[in-house]
Amino acid sequence: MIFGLCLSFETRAENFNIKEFYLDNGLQVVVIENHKAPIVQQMLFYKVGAVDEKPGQGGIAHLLEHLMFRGTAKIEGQKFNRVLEQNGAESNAFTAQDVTAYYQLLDISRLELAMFLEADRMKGLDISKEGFATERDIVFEERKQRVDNNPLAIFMESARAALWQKHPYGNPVTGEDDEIKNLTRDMAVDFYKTYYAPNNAVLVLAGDVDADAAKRLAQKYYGNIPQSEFEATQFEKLPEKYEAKLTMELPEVRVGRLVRMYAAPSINVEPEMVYALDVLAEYLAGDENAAMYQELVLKSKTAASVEVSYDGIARSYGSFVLAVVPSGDMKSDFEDKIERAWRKAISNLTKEKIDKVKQKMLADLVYLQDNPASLAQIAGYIAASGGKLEYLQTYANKIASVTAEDVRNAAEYLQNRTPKVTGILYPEGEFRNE
Amino acid sequence: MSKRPAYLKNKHSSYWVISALLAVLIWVMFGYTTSEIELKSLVDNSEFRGRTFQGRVQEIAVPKSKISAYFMKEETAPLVAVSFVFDKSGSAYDSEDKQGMAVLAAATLSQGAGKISADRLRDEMALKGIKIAFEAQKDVFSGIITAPKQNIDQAAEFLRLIFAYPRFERKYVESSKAQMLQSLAAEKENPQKELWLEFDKKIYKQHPYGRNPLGNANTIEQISREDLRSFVKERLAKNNLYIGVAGDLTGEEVANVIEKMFGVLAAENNLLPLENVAMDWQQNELEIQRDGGQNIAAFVMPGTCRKCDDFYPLYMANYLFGGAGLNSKLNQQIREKEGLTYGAYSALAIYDKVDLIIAGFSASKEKYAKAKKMFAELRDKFAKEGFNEDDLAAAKEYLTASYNLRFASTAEIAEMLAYMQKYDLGIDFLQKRNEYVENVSLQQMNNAAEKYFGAGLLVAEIGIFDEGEN
Repeated sequence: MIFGLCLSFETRAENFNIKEFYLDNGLQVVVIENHKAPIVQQMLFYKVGAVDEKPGQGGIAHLLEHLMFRGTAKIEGQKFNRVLEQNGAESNAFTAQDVTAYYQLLDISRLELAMFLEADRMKGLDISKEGFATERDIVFEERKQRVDNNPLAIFMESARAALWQKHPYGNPVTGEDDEIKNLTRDMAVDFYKTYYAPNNAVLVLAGDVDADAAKRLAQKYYGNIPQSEFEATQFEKLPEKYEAKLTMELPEVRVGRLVRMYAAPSINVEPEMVYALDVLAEYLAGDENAAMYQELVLKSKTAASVEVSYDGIARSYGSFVLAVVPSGDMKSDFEDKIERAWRKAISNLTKEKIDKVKQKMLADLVYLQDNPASLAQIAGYIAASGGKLEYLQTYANKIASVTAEDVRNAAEYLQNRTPKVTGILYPEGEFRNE
Repeated sequence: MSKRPAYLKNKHSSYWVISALLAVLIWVMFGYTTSEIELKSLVDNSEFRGRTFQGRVQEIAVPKSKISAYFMKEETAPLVAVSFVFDKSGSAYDSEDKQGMAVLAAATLSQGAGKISADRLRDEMALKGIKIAFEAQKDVFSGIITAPKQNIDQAAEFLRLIFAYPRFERKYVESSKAQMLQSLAAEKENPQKELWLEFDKKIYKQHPYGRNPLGNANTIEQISREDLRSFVKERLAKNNLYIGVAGDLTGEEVANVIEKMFGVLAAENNLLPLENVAMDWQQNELEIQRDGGQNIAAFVMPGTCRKCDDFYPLYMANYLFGGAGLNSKLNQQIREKEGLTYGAYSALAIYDKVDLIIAGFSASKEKYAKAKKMFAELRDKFAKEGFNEDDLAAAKEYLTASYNLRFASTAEIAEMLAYMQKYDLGIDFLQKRNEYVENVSLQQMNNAAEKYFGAGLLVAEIGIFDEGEN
């Protein structure tokens, strides 16, 4: 989920052509008209993810996502994939901390087929014992491939655990090795029955479809699916401030890294601050002219690269992440230099500089009118995270009204009033030699 | 604001009534599960049936400058994309002592132009929503520039200055070199990457395809700013250039834009030609010991060229074998049935100097040998027995039904238009493409499977291997 919304002043939100409505059973439907080609992207977001897992059941949300491709009472076995494939669809799904989403990009003539199939598996899933066992093996292999083969992923997972402590954002979406092995079919069925329901979902249709047709078809395919009752997950409030430090040395690592993560505001936590944080991220490292990039990569040549990303679209806290790769070996004063570069960037911040950053962000927004799949993903994520689509409609104006003072305050907030972790990863053998 | 193109006019037919009745009948007859026919009726009866992309490709030529482009008018977003591909200019053409040149040029070419400093150029482009990106591959050096419609002339002026007077500012050349050195180190962290780099070295031997496109610490150091300026003069020329344009412009506007962008380039690329790769299919397996979460396998088989008669037959055979995602024969067996891997794949790798099929998978140490054996058995099976009529029909259905997906973004359309020229597919390719697919017979597809799956196989693997187990 990368929400680097960037566009042009003259782009008005209504150009996005987004409409929304609700079915009687609570299903929220978002329609994004874009008639570039006779294609459409259907995305069904469930407002459920790894954060909703019970203790010890880490990975069940993700495993269920896999099982959703293994057959329903009506569409047995792996016919779901086969039918979509033969109909030319690009079909896949992803599980995140906050949401689970299923999507198909396909020819508009196949939209009804995709809606039929997606609606069918909202309630009709039929998990066989064999299918469950095989799919659990597959997600185990997936974790091995994504994490165990990749030292950087192990480092990032450790840093997240240190930052989020008992908050569920600290748990890996895949689950831990032991957890995956202990997942049962009953856990999956229970999770499915509890959370997969129209009143816990957002349907996005983006492409060559208008709102009237979307409404008719959404009612036809999804309108009769019953609601579910469940207790919404409550998130633990983090202490106002703490700072964790993590130093790791891992085999096979050849390049050091420093990562600093903040538990940041989001559309649901201190929501008025998200725009200033978007601007702050761009100001610090949005391009090679950005303040920290200039200082660390070009002036002091301390770093080979500096990246800052902010994601404020979340059900609980957002995350603000600074990632720096040293130029050459990792020196002992690396963290100090980064800290100084941050402070210098903030004290040199002026209205003119912030205005320029904002204009660049706004000039970039026009690209959201291009591929319907991009806006579908963003709009779906916002809605499924409990945000309002008004967020998109007013985004350009909100960014335009961010002041230099707002950005300074946002930086101050991150530094002094949020939990953070600083993780340093050393190449094999280099930490001990210090 | 949004314009509704002609294809939105629905084509209704009375056919749906019959199909609907048939669907009800089938439901009654077969009861609970939903049949293929019912599912098909959802497509056949769709109110959106029959909308076809109407984009027309025109050739826009500027004879006095010897430049031409394929152009597709695309009015739904206020954007223009210009894709440009320089043939015979990628990293394989880097000289031995300056390997990494094409990659470094791609990273630094837009760092200043004429009197405009790198920092100012970046600001001015971003403020106008103009994006530019260059990329070096083995064979080609390419780029894409996108801009809001009203700023396309300004974008063209920037690109003209970049080609005519690139500054390659020292500080950015230095920072890009530092990044390339860190990338070289970081590649070794990724076992998949390490495996393929080592495999390339072994397969291609002395041929430049075997080199790391990033070069190495010594060769990167050797590259001067003067070398980078020569790179632009010598490699980026009109006679090896293919241009694709998509967006809301008239033909005349396109002519002006491409004349401005590319008119300043040299007439001819004067690089030495590259030899064809002489493949040695008798090599031993490459085995790299490395402890990680999984073992990884990589395979190389012979392939066919883009313009060869058996391209579509092999393309479809490969699609069925390992190209079709979860539905491929490889994934159906090794992943979906046995749960041995998160994914297996195969793909056609078409280069100017060699045509191959590449394939691979990763699996836990204890499952690896079984998965590897299955891969070999499946390859053997489809080489010997071939596919059946259902497979052929499935491949045709997918390839024709997914046809319109290629028109999702302006930049992707522009890029496709440029590559249509590189591969000499003809200006009417988009009209003919589905015919090419439909015309493939089972015999042709199975002949291709036999010829290419049944011939050479090179294997490389990385991980922990017990003595004698492989």
